[in-house]
Amino acid sequence: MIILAICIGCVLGAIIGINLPMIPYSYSSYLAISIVAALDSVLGGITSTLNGKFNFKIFVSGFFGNAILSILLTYLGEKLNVDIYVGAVVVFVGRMFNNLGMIRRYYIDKWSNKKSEEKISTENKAK
Amino acid sequence: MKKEKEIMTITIALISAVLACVLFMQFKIVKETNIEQIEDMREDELKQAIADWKEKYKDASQKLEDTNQKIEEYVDKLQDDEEINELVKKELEEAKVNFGLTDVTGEGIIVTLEDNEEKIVDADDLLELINELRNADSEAISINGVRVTNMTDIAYLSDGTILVEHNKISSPYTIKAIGDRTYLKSALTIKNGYYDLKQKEGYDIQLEEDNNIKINKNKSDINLRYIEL
Repeated sequence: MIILAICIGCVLGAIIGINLPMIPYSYSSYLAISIVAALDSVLGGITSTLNGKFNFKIFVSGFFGNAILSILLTYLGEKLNVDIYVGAVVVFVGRMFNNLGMIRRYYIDKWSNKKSEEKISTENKAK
Repeated sequence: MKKEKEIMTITIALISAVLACVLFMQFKIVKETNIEQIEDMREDELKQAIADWKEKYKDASQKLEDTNQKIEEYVDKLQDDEEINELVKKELEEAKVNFGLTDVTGEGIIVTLEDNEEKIVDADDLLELINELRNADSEAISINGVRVTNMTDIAYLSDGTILVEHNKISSPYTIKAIGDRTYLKSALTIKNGYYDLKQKEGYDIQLEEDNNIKINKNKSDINLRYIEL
């Protein structure tokens, strides 16, 4: 159900995104940083789901909050003539790698557990 | 509980829609920007580019100015050189004329002295005449076609001829002088002047003015052996 919702949402969003008018290049850096923040939130959400600690409100607030905060930081950086968005990118991408690592570990653990269980069961059968 | 799940599903769908939308917008921007790079360049990049070009323009105009100034200097120098050249040429020309290295023409007088039974023309007579002519500001003198310069020797030979610039000449002697002809003439024909005296002494002397006297250049070589230049 949720996966279907995600798929529908993605397709709809892609169609809308392609058909929307171009925004000026000056604002594309804000868009990019918000995308990175959002992706980080999504990965974080997946990780917490796998750990069984998923909180919907935290996810939604993190999704929009991080995106908006990163845009504001980038704006501030532009005004201060400091590339703050680089810091934001570093943080978000680092967290994304962390989350990806957790997800990977979770599935590998699950897979090896399954295999060992099968082994045990076959051994039991043989006995 | 079921309603909560519904809201969650819809929200997640919305969130993924927003994410995909933004993602594709960004893809589009990046793609388009590569095509029309300059048109959609960032403001500060454009500013930087303008500043760079301004700097370059400044440098180039500075260079142009410098070069123009140099050219002007060279032209000035060239003109100066030309002027100097002209001056030197003129001076050289004058020096040549003074030294008798060129053929010259101009108004002046012609004096003819001739031997007769009473008197034979002597080198001293010629020297005296030349002195008189020089005194009267004549600019070029010749004796029987031999140019008289500041180095010309005039000597009497025992056989009755006169040596002028190592050229043997004999009577009649024609002395041509270029200069102010009235002044030259009056210098010679003044009372008790050269013309008077010579006539009294019994020489055959004639004097005529000419508008267009031609005097040849000095034909002998000038070799400077002792003057250090």
